[in-house]
Amino acid sequence: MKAIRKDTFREIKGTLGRFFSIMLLIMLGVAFFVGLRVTSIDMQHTADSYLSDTNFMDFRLISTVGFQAEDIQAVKDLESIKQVTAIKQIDAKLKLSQQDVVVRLFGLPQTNYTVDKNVVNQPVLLEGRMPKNENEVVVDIRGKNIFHVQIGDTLHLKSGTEEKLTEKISKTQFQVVGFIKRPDYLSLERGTSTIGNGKLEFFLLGYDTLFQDEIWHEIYVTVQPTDQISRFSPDYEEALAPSEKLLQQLGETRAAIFKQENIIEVREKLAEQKAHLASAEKNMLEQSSLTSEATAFMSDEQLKAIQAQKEQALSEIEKGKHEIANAYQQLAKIPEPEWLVLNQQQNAGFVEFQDSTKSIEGLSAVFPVFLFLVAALVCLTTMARMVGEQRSYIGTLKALGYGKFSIAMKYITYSISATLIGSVFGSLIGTYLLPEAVYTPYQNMFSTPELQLKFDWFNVLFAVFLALIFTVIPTIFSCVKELKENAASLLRPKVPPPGRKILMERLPFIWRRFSFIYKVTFRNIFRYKRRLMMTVFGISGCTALLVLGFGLKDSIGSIIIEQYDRLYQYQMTISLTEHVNSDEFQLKEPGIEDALYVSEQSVDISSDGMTKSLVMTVPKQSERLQDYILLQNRKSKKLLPLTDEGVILTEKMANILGIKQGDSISLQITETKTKVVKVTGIAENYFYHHLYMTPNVYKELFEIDPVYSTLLVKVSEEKRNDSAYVQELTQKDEIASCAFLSSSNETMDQLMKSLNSVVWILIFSAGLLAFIVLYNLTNVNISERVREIATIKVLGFYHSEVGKYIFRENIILTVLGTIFGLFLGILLHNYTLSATEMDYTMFPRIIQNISYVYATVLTLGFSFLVNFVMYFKLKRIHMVESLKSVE
Amino acid sequence: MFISVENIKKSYQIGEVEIPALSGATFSVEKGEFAVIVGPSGAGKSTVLNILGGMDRCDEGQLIVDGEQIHACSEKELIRYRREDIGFVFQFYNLVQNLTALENIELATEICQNPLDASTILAQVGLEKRKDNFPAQLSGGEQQRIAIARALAKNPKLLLCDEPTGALDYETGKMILKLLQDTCRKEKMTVIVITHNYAITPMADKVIKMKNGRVEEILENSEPLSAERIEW
Ligand SMILES: Nc1ncnc2c1ncn2[C@@H]1O[C@H](COP(=O)(O)OP(=O)(O)O)[C@@H](O)[C@H]1O
Ligand SMILES: [Mg+2]
Repeated sequence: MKAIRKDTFREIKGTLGRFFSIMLLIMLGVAFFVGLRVTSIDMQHTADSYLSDTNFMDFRLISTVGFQAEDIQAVKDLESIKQVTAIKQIDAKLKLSQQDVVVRLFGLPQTNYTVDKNVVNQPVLLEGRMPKNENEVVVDIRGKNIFHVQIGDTLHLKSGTEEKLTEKISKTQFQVVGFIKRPDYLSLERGTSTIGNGKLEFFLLGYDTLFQDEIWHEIYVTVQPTDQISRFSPDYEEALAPSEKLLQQLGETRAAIFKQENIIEVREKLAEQKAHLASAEKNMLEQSSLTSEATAFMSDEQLKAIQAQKEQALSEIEKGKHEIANAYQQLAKIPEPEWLVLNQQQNAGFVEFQDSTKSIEGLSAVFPVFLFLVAALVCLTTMARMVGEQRSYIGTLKALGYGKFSIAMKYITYSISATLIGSVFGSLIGTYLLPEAVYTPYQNMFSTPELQLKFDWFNVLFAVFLALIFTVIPTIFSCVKELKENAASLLRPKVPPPGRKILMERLPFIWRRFSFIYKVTFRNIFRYKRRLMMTVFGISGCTALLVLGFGLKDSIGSIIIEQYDRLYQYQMTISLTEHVNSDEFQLKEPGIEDALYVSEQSVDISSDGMTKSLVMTVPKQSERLQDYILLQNRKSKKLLPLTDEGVILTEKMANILGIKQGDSISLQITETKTKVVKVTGIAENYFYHHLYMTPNVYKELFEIDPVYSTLLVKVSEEKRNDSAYVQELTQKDEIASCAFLSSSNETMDQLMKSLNSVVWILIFSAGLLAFIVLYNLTNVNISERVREIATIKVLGFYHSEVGKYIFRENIILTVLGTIFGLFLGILLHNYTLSATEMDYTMFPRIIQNISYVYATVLTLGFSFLVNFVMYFKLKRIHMVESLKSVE
Repeated sequence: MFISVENIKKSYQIGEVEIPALSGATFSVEKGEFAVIVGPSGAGKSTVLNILGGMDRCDEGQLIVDGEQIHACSEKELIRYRREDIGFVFQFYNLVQNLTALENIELATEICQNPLDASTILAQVGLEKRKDNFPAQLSGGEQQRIAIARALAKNPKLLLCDEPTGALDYETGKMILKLLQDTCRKEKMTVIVITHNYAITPMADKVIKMKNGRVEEILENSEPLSAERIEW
């Protein structure tokens, strides 16, 4: 046994090239497997610790009628509730860089501002300081990143409704003193509002003493024992279920109490008053009829006085009636009291983050398995070759009385050593290098901190286990045949596989056309089928990875072109100031070719219990919309007409909600009211989600006329993307803001930049893969045919001719593999896109022609490099030595 | 003198030890001669033939073939020498398994400047009917005939054979020897054959006896026997 072990190590030293091939492939496979799985685990860890540090809520309560102090106390009194933070808020408009944006002002009790561990959804100060008085606010970091708000700026809030802002808050001007983030806004999504265009852009945090009413809008709640449980595990939801139920029950009770106190009792009181007033009126009328008989005995003066009295009473009764009617009206405005208990699955940021971790994990099912398969094939050929070379050695050992198992151990030890060493490096790369790179594109989308890297034993061991299966089984498989033979037959030379005619020779009209040397090449290619398969598979893998890498860039890059050049036929959007009437105002400016009035608004839609928000667009003239926005089916390219029958939904949202043409969705009309509408078409769209409807459908659903305050504008060629032109237009009184479409893609730009690292990883891996596969195969090929090579050298082949004799096969197989790989790449690209797509984008399945060229050229380049290295090995083959002994 | 081998030395370095394979071999062969190198195993016969065939280099000494100084050739000139001037036949045939009989011959004719026609040569060795067979489908003797045909097809100046009958039975061996002798006589080809079998020597024009890396004795047969008449 000891002798065999020694021999194994000598073997490794003697065949370092092969050993490294297996090792590196396993390294790649393990690195990707561990890397992709660990990235999602790391992301979850990172998020978990960030969310628990900042005391992220377990539940968010909202009520149609707001919360009273007693409600908050009732929530606090519930058992299993740990912390409760009630918050006041108001949505307002803000004019920033010529644009009206909708923001939300939160008020927190000032004592909680400092690092009070009991505040739920603790704000994290990123820059500046916290407010010290009512005149100061801190601003969501998104305000800085996108709207360039700066510390020291003064923000003037404006009302978004008819009510004056000062009726709600005591101040409307604030100085910015710092920037913060909050755990309940994990992504870039800020939600919807009922004012303005409905899209909340960022939030502010100020003193809650600013607010006039003692009514709170939201309650954030954390629950007793959730600290130790990951928010991403199923245990979490299970642990929370009882509390959710308690809160819902409380909600029903409190809503009922509110209804009793503020609606029923008030109504009763009003009814009483009304009755009171009615009887008073009746009494008076009776009295006056009574008194009419008595008037005969009265003087004029007396009569006048009575008349006056009567009139006064009547007017008072009228006034009372009026007041009661007013009170009724007021009462009718109070919505049906209802509490909503929202858990983390209804927090957009959290859900987006969760989806991202899932999609990364999904990738781990493709790449590593692919790499492991190639490793298995390489292992198979290498081991088969090694066993074949050592027949007489095996025979000798057998003759000496070694058992099958101990002989096989040599080869198994060989492959296990390669696998284990490869696994160690792979695990380290997978744990410490890959996650950073994979996470980078996501880092710009989420406000989570730096990734916490953790060594994950489970996944590492799982990967090593898989790697061992993929190498040891082929090893056993390739030596089992030799081990079965007896010592004597092993000591005789192995008969080389006999030459055979290949299929092509049966087609003489083709075969005859080949020169002699090509006949040899083709026969060799088909003679070694395993090598053919392996090379084609390995090379195609390399090409596919390259196609994927470049294709990812193409797809993500082309979102902007597809969406803003092809689907959108207009170039600019203009928001009009409020007082502009769309029936009267005509935009006549040089450079503006045509324009269409639309109403744009963010709304929530739902289907099957899933709720998502999107932008709803209502064109003033439905028939003209098609000239501005190409509404068509992506696959059939059929145009989708916008009719009064229903609405048109964009494709990605339809996929998310599982909606098909003809299905219905429910649309959130007010916070508590929904209506169902039919989807008449699903439109091609790549960025964000949209819902299109005619004015008639809008009126039917919302019971009001749409407000057309946005213009989609076609701009003449020479003015496009001219920022001076934007400035000029914005000067006009009627125009609140205007922007060219292409400039509004910060997220896409970020994504593109950070994607470069991913593309480089793919290119690097592809190169390594190609190199290993080709190196290994050529190596095995050369050593298998060393006699043949020596023979042709004796015949007087020049080095370059010997090179061609061997490499022509490689080149043909590489070309074949490359072609195959281009198709494989398309599939891989498709799969990867659907696995990694964000919620609000749909990546066009586009690969530019130049990317195919890059992938092909790089693959051929790698192959050339291997052949170049191998050329020197061929040159070194010694004729006399190689021909001396019979194998 | 067509071939002149003068005081050729060659030794192999294995670790610290130097093993002399040739310690000064000298002989010559005339054009059209049938020469046999004979000697016990390990005498250095193969070594000298490999050097003669341009597959290996000597450490010292001179090798002149048809006026060319082979010992002084560059790598590239040596390849050209093998390509145009030498035909080599091995004990174990060394045919390319994946090529048919005819293609194995074409492999050689493909590269030289004045090759003979592959099919004609195949007919000459009596195997025209087996031209589409692969080596594995042929007997040892047939394979060796193909190997000889391959060497001859290049139309070389010199045919070198290292134990061409070593792996063959008596009858087949004799047939191969006859083929070689006939080729020498009819085509005026210079042939050098290695053997460890002394019984073959009577058929040669010249017998070069080797031992311990030296030429022990050179005999010339004025009346060589034909291959059919020798027995062992
Ligand atoms: N590659 C080599 N390495 C070491 N020694 C060698 C090598 N080739 C030949 N020899 C030695 O050179 C001597 C001559 O060998 P060789 O010419 O093959 O003998 P022959 O062909 O006459 O049997 C032998 O002693 C042999 O051991
Ligand atoms: Mg020998």
